[in-house]
Amino acid sequence: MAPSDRVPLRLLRERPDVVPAVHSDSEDLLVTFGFRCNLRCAFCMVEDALGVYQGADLETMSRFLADAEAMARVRRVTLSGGEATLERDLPAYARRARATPGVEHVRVQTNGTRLAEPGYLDALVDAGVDEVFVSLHAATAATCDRITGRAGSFADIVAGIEAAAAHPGVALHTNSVISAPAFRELPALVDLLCDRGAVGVELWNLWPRVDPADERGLFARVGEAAPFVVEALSRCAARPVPAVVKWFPRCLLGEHADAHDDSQPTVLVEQRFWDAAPSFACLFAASCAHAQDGCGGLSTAYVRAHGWEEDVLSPRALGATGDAAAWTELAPFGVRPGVRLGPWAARAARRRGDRLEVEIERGRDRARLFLFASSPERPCAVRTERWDVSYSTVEPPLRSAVVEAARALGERLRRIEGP
Amino acid sequence: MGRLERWGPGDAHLDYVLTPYEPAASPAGKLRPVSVLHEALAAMGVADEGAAVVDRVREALGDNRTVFGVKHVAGVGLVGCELYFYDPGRTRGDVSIASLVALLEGLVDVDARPPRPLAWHMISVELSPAHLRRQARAPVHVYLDTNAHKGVDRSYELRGDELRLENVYSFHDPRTEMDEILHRLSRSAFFSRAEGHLGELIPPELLDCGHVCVANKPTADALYFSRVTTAQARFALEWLGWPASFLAFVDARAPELDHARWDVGFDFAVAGGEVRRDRSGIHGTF
Repeated sequence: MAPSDRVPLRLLRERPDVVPAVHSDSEDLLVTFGFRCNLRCAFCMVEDALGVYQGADLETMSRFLADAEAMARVRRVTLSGGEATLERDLPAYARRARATPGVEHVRVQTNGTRLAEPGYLDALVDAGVDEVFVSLHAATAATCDRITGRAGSFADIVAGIEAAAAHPGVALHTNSVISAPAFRELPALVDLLCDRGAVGVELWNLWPRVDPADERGLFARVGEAAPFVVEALSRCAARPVPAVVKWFPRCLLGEHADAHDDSQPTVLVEQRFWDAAPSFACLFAASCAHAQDGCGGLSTAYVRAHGWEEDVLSPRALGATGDAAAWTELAPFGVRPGVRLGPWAARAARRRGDRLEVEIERGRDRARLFLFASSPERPCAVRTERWDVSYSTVEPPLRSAVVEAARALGERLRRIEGP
Repeated sequence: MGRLERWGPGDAHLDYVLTPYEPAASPAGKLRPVSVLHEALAAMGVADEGAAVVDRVREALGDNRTVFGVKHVAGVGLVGCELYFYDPGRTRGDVSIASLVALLEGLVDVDARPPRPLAWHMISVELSPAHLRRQARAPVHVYLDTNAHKGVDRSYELRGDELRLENVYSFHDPRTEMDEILHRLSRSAFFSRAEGHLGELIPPELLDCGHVCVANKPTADALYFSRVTTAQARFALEWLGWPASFLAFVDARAPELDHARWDVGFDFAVAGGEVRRDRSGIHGTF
């Protein structure tokens, strides 16, 4: 998760410290504000921001939402903090998000402790919220309360989950961190969440911002945790409830590898947030097909504390790198592994939802080209009769070269489309 | 402060085996990597003596011909530098052990007389402050390849006419030969995974490099990471305990050194229950 570009200057002038990390391919916008919380989770992703950051005020968010170019692909706005439900302005944020053309979902990311309060969910739904993303990290009160640092939190969170699941205007999605104190409870936790009506479950491996040496002992050793993660995913699949796993080695997910998704939303947050954002690596990344499919490996903090897990990870040899079906789709256009696109070479291909992705390589540089079915509303670098070609956000020095690759791909597409 | 040299039109980006690399940024108007060597020499109190050696070597052999290394010992500090001279297959023929001795005469007393013709592809001379002040005589190190195809090389110290095996080493592409690297490390005589983990030898920050060199030495093994960026080198130097003053120099000059790629390496051995990385170095070219 790293900043990859900046929005137009006019949006920064008013709140230059709140800089969006723009991911041109993301359909999700995460707006952070109100960095307070009524829990003290041991592995909080914004631990160092609580009581320090302010996030995006309503005006800043409104200006971003009003920028049609910035919002072109956004379909979901997620409101978060800190604990967003502690903020009096939350309904105002929700109303503004709901009023934005193209936004289909307004989500509140929350610890759920306020959702059972009488009338609270009604107020959120009236303001336009249609999804809640509730964090529950353990299946037992003892473990949960130890993680949150607050006795009784488990009961409050579960009550909130039940209230959300019972409300006709809200879809319940959940988030659970894979951590040393709780990974053994993941299968039971999935049962708890799905029994109470979760329609989407996400399991996020620890994303370390503070405690780089893991002095708190929160990292779950991936070899130990993998069987529990896989069992949890199996239980989701059996329901079926869609599941997503983030920041956990894809090679350890077995038949559930496709649940792996490290993609990130566009985030409105102070620029300094990224200074401590963890990075990820894997000894086998260059030769592993899972890396081609988006697996980032282990966080650098994990590696420092516990090593590379070279005997645990199971790299998959590169063959038809990425999605073989995607290469099949691209074959009629002469796009195959290694083909030259301008100064770049096609290295991997995959289909993600409505788009084909082609990963291109030039020396040490990497970028991605995206192919969508042509649509006049979509901003893109190249448009052919049937396709829109755009590209991933890259550093400015690479931009013209990537555009060259997009044009080269466009030429190949046009050759097949004919005059 | 050491001498700062500016990048010029005839300069080339070469790694520690004198292979060209793509610069990480434009070098126009920026510093030559040898500025790091000059800064280290100044920190050791031998700026003038070291600069005289650099100038004489450059005058005799030309630009883009010599690899330099700056050496550090944990708990001691900067301890010297080393100059490396390549001539694979002796195709250039512009340097020999004898000619190196003669070249440095008057600046450094080099004590090396090969007992027989040696098919080296590289020789080097290590220059501590004592050597640069002519308070001690410097040996030469001789590098021979072991196998034309497998890329395993060895080095010897040549002191007088006596040779002593110092080092057996091999180069590996981390992208395609990680298994070989892991094999070498798992069979180290100075490290075991019962005593530490590989994250203490291969930090994530250095994984994205050109080649990894694994070396076996008499009292330690070693790892070298080639073609790392200035930012990566800066991480490595701090991780390896280099002096704050030297790190401050790198920080201050980082924008002017950002075009360069470096080779960083360290000896490692388990001692007292911990993985120690006591001897380390950074390499560039001039």
